[in-house]
Amino acid sequence: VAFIWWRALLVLFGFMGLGNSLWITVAPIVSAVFLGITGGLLIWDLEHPMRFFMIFTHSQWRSWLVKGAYVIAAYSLVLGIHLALLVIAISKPDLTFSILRWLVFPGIILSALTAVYTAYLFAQAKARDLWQSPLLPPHLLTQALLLGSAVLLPFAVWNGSFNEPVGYLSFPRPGFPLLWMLAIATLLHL
Amino acid sequence: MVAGELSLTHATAHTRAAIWEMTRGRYRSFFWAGIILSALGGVLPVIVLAGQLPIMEGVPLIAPAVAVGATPLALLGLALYEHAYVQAGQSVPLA
Repeated sequence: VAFIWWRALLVLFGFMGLGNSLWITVAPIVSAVFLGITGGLLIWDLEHPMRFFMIFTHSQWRSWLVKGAYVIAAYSLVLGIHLALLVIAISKPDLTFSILRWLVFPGIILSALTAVYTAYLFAQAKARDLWQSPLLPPHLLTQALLLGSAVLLPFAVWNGSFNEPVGYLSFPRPGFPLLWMLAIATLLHL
Repeated sequence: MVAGELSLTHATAHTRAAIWEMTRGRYRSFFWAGIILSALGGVLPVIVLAGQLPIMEGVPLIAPAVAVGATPLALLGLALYEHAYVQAGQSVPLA
């Protein structure tokens, strides 16, 4: 049960500027931690956990479990590149920023897919009528935005995102859009 | 979205039974606690944001740090709701 909302945590992109530490460090690290927990739980939940690699070597493409595994793997790759670039940034900050800027696009798409694919997985459980709702994909996306903004909020207060522009690429006071996102997503979900 | 899903006409008896289990049956305490905590988690940022509106000039500003209180409310509220939703979906016997 728990991995559903943990997975929703993975959508931790915001509309703060590229120079903000919320996006540069906090979001990818928190995402990587929860993605690792999600992956571990998914493998542990398999009937034969030690054979998890067969999802990739003998892929059954009609199953959303398989499609989801590929989505998670692709998102892990994006996060891995992001975290590796943080190490390179120490010596080559300009190069790092230019790559990170482009990494935003696959990151946003894959994080949204990671949050939403469970709806399609649930829909394949044909005997469970409650889970056949066509509202489930937007439902999970809203939950992901809610949880992402909720988790980032304490960090936004801590790093001064409510006070003044942070870094030359930042929007002014990016904490406020984050707060709007939390308020709207939480109330919309109800 | 939750309200919409609950109030729609449900196509099957299985769905109706699952919704009943979630809102009035075995999982009602998880469900309603989740809804109440989520609502509080949503209202708190709205109060802080409302203080920033131009029409609220003269009213003392609420520090954004106060909205951090919404984080545990929203997280716990959603976890409880999801628990109720997933369990209720599996609670109806298949045969």
